Amino acid sequence: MARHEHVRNLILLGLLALVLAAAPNQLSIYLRSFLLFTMMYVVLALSWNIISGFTGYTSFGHVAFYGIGAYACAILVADYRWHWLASLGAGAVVSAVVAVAIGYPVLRLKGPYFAIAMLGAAEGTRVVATVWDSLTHGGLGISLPSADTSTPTYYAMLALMVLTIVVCYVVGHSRFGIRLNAIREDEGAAEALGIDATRYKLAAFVLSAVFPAVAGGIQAYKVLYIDPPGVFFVQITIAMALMSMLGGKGTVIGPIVGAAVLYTAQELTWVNFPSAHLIAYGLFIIVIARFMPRGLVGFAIDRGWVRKGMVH
Amino acid sequence: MGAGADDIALEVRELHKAFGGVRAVDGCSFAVPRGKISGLIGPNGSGKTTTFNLLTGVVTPDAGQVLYRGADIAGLKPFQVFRRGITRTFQVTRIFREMTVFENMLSVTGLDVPDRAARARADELLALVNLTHLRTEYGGRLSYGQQKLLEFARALMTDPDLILLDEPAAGVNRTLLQHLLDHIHRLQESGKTILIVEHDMNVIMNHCERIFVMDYGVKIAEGLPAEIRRDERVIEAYFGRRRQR
Amino acid sequence: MALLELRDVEAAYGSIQILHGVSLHVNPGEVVAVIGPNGAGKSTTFKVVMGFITHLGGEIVFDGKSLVGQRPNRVLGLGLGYVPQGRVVFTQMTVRENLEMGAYLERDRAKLQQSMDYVFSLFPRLGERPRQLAGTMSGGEQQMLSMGRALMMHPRMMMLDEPSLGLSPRFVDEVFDKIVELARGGLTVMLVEQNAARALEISNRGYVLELGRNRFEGTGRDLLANPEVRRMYLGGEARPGA
Repeated sequence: MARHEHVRNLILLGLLALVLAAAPNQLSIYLRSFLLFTMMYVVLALSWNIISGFTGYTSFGHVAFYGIGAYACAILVADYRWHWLASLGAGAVVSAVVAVAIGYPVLRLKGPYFAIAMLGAAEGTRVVATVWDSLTHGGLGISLPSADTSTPTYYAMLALMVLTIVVCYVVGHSRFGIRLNAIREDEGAAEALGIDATRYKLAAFVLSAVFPAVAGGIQAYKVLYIDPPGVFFVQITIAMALMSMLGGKGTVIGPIVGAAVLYTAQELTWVNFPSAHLIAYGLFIIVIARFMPRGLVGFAIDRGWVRKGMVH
Repeated sequence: MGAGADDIALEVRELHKAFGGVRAVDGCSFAVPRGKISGLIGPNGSGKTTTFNLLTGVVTPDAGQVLYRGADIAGLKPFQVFRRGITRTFQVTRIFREMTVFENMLSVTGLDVPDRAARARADELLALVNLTHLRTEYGGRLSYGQQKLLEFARALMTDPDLILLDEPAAGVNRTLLQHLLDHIHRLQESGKTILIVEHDMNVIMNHCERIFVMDYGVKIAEGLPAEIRRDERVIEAYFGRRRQR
Repeated sequence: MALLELRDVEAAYGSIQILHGVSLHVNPGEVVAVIGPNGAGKSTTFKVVMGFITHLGGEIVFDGKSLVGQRPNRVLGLGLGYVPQGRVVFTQMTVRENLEMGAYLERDRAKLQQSMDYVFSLFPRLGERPRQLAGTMSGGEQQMLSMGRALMMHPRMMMLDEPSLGLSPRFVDEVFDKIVELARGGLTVMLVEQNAARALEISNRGYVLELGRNRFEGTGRDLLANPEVRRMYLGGEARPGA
């Protein structure tokens, strides 16, 4: 990609960030919350995309990292009086460490086995949160000290989203990203080209674990109360996967578009069809999956509106 | 260091590999001469495929050595073998289908050169195999012949000294095969060492300077094409032997 | 009249044409070998007769009926037995169950049992252990099982694809002895073999294929003695421009 294209994209991102930064003051609390959730889902979908879209290891357990981040923030802020921003950093670190620990054994598994193992890992994390109550307060949950967290968390999420987008963009357009794709396409052939798949997979996995953790931490600080079922919400894993796939996994813009479109659709159907919103939402997903099997961005690529490939 | 080490690119010493009770490679030894095109042949079940997999790190030997540049590379993983300077292609092409041709070329590691140089080299090699016009097409959309050329070009990105070709003639029409063979000869002329595993006898006999024949997991003959063609043991290996009463 | 006849048959795997006009015939009671170097199209010949792959041209007639366009299960029903390459047995099933699978089209239990007894009489070792899991048998025994399975439908002619492939020399002897025994019992046999010498030893006649075309034909003895045939296996006639 020519330099000017990167600059153009950076400017677009900057404009988006500016618009979103100016927004909270003009908008209702509901809309502000809506935007925050949309940005969060962008972060989650992009993160999932790193290990599942780029590298081809479909994870059904990434909510584990989201939960770890949420708990890190809640525990450190409520019980140890840390500053919440520092707790986000801690959450990211813990998440990375757990990712390495889980990643080594689990990344040896292929396809459906990996997906199920990750599902198990997520469940395991939830159980740990419930059972290790000396640390996590178990089923009682953790209440954070009251504060007006609405605005700071909005900006934190915005910053996180911008960071995630930049990182994914850099990965996607670099040789590192190409190698992750190569692992997805044909791990054996990738190895024959000198790619140490074990190391690359682990790197991608860890990278995909840190951003959801920070997102989880921000959410915890926003809502000021967390408990295991609220945090380890399987819908989150499904949403991450769905948004990434329907947007176009394996691209950078795909998950962004997917998250925005799907979350908006989710909200709109809930508002307009309160009693049947799940059906309406489900129909929407089915229609996209049926007519755009490679996702919205995939559809655009097939039509020639977007260029094939990421590195030119 | 053995005498005449300079003349030998790769030395295989007493390789052994068994799968369950079957001894696929049973004490195989040969030395691939530097700067020449050599062939490794043998009937089905001779162990040549397993030997090839042992050389490329896909399989770990039970015993034996594979000496390359003074080091034993037996048992190294494929990506480590690659990083030592040995490249291989596959019998059925394994290019990356959902990545563009250009991205396929750049997926190779070991290029300690800045991005721009890597891209330049990729374009250079694509031009060599006449795939420049397909640079931004998905690998999966290429014809089989074009994929074969892409895989071949991709293998040359790091300018390896030793190139192992796994049945390059498989599934390829005569015209394309001639192109590939032309490229292979040019590589050899520039000083590279090439080892071809093949079933197609015409390719082997007409293009290899040295041939190693395997059967029952061991090398049963080696020499020039003319010698191999006349070798009774080789004929017997391929044609079969009458029942021993 | 020939039991099986192929005239100028062309066939392809998908878009890759393998056979470019192969002709051969098998008379009742004969053992005919189809040999040739790798890539000659030997197995492909069987596959096009059975209807597994794309038929592009030429005639295939068995017992007076054309096999062109027929699906494999119909071909089996007409009296052709097929023993595929590589001892394809159902490893998780017993010997009995494998044989039953061979007579899948037979509804009558009594006839099924008769066929099974017949196969057991031909292959006593199989009869000794009807409940053994096929996956635990030796290569030679699996090959016998594969042949027995093909015989469950009482075919008039049996096609064996590389029966000696991957077998140790001892089992190769056993398998070829068994083929000779079956042939003496009246079964017409066509076999494709990499081990050309052994195949020609037991054959009345043979065809040598190269690159999807007929190259030589003759009696088993004549082909065995012909040095051209041996030389062909190692190819290497200089090609123009090489």
